Amino acid sequence: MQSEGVVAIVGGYASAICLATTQAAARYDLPYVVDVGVTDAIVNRGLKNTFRFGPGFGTVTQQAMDNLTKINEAAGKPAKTVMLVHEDGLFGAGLAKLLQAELPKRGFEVLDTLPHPTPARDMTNIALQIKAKNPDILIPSSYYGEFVLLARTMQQQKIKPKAIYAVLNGAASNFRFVKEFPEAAQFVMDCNHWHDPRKPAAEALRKSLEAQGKFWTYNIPMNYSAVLLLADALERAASTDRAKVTEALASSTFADHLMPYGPTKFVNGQNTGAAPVNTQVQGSDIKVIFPAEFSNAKVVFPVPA
Amino acid sequence: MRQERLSLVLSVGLLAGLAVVPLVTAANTVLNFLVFAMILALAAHGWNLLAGYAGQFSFGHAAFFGVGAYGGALLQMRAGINPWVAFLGGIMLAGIVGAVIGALSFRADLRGSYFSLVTLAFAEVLRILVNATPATGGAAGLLIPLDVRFANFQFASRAAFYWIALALVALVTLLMLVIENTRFGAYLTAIRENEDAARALGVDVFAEKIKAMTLSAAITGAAGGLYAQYFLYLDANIGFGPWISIEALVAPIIGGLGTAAGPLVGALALQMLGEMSKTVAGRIPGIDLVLFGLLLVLVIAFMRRGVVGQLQRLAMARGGA
Amino acid sequence: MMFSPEIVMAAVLNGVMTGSVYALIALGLTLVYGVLHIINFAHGAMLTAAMFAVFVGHAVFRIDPYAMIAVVAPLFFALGYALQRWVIGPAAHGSESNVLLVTLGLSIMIENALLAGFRSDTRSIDVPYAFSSLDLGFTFLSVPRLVAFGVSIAVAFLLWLLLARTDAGKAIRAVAKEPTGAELVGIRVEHVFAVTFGLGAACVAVAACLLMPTFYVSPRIGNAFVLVAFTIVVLGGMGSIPGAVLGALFVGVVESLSGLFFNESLAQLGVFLIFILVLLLRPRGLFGAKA
Repeated sequence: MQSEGVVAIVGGYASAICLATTQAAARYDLPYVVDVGVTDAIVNRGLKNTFRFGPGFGTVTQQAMDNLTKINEAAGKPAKTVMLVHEDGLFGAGLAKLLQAELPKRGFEVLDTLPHPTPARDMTNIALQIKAKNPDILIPSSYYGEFVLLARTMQQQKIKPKAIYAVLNGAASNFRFVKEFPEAAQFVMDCNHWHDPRKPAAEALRKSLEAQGKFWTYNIPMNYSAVLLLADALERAASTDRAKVTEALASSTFADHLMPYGPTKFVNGQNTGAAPVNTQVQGSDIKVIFPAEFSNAKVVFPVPA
Repeated sequence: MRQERLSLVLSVGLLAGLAVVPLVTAANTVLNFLVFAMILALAAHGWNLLAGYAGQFSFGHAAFFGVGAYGGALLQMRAGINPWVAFLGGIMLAGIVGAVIGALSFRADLRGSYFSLVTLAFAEVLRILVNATPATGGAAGLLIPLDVRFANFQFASRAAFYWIALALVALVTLLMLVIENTRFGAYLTAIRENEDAARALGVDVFAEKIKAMTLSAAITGAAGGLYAQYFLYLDANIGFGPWISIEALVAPIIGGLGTAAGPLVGALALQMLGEMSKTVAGRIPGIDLVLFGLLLVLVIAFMRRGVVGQLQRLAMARGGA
Repeated sequence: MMFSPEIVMAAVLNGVMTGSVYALIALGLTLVYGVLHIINFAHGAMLTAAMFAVFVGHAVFRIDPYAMIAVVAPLFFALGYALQRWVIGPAAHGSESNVLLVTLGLSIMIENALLAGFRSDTRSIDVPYAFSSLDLGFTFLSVPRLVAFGVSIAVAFLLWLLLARTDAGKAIRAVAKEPTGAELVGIRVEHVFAVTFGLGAACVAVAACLLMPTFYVSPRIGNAFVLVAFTIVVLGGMGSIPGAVLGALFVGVVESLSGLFFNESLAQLGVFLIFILVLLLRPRGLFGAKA
């Protein structure tokens, strides 16, 4: 790529890919805007070329825990115990480790942590263990296929915790899941990337995609915004010189994106305004329930039996 | 022309041609392509020694690629050993793991499909273990810190790295040509053709197979070590995933099973095919692999000794032999 | 960690249910091995292809996955027959390693063609009975999984009947034992090989129909099952039908219990370790099948 006059890269998604490609790009001082990769090692390595537009694990977990505590308190603290289910790769295992440390600090007891491989042939065992321990809240961090399998098995075994509270889950804020398995998806909460529903450009993009019969996912506005961010930097750099573009990115205050982040500000490569939101499946829609400034629905918690 | 002569001529010609590429172009796409082809060729050489010469078809050479890669990376990151030395350490570790797996499998007299299956299972066990063990970086994998210095086995120029990879391939090719003319090589051929007959003739089949497996694993381990130094990132799937077991096997078969030039020819062909299919079919995932699979079937059906075998036939037809 | 007896019983039951589907997949593999003495490496890819066929049948033509058995079983029988007769057989030139490599090539092709066609998304189908269950008191038994159990056992029994009681079965057994001799008495060995391979393919096709109501499909999903199937076949003794069924139920239960008491990721490891140990210590299988 380097020899073909590439000025900058936008990309990411799978964290492992991000780790490798950002480092490769750093060798050639190639500016790299990561849109979705959540592993904090992406920006913690001091690579000067790497800018992450979205929030990382640390921020998302903090926010997720803060919001969970608030939701629980507002409902009169019905939930005390939690169980974690996670896929055993970089994403799930990393998240589970953070949550295991954070939850007890906020007064939740972690009853158990259950890893599973991807692909998993069967989630019945996990469902059985959830049934045996009967946690108030279940926090699943899995990819789409396994989470759907788990949600379906739980429905089958009639296991109903007070809430399924996902963090960065592959399915919980995915319209395909909601459409294909409305019952299993009902009232599932997620703390994840989501566009700012107040921004007309974001809603317009969503409408145009849905008109084409495609499912709206959070990485669409993320990627779109990251490209806009880079375009803005290129314009201000008024040059295709890599160092100048890197500098323009570092000093970016770009605010015209689709995410609820406010003006962009990079500190050590991390966009400090980046934050996740909380969503919940209600009926056939995915509603924003937190933060209050732009939520479009009230949280349903505990889930009615 | 005899196959050995042809392999020698072909290898020398190819290696010489490849050596001057960085003098002609500095395009990183080209060098990147070639570095990867060299890593693949090396892994393929390891597989070819065991399968092509000794007739033992491993489906799990990822185990050795992974041990070489992880061994080298862990020795420098956790034990603070110089990366060059760590690279050699990784190769040795891969050889040891090869010897152990070989001893277990050959002691149980696993042949043919059974041997293929057990090697596959060993690779999978290592993949799951490495993915679950914090000491090996777990699912997050290992990032070798970026610190471009010659002493660190990291280079600012891709050409430098490429030449080292190329030199290793040349060295291993030479080794194969030498083995072909030694008693060890003859024993391996005898085992491949008929293990029981070889034993009856007094060949210590078990010992020779272990030797082949150890050397084979070390060579593929070297490929893993190179991969780690080049990309500076490893995870369980890169190191121990089925992809490398498959590519290390497809390349020599296409190039010419049991020939010293086969792995290099096959690795270059595979890489080119992959690039071409990407240009033609665009970004449809999987298309390149569909082609690899098809090629594998076609080569086995119609040209038993791959490209090298085919060239040999042509040469013989022209020579009127 | 202690679990109440209800949970352990539920896990055992679940293991038996899962194991029965493994059995069906392993049956195809062991049958082919028993007769052709080859390992079909494309078995997992064929399962994936069959699962996609069931998915398409439901998504496009609204055919119930169980009704799809009538479509995909004959279809895959024909495909399997053709593959062995005109691709694997001729390409392999009678060498065992060639068969392995040709079927490996086929599995790479099938898997990646599915990846190119369907992308790596996971897909599932929703049928009205997906969540119907029987209340056993200690657990809810999923009806689709009970159906899968029943059909798997029935298929295994039919396969056994076919081999033991019919002329076709006699021919297959003759070829398995003594291919040259069978040829001399006028049995068309190539045809019998292809029929056997077709039967193996039909087995995975039925397994696909049984899996789809509760499971999902993605281009690489077959691998998740086929490595277990290899383990079962080795455990039960390569080529033995009762061995495959018993081995499958055993592996299903072991996997389920180790998933409960350890964790799912390590349960995967357990299956491979069993596999390696059996190969190294008792390559003829645990259930005393003849070599």
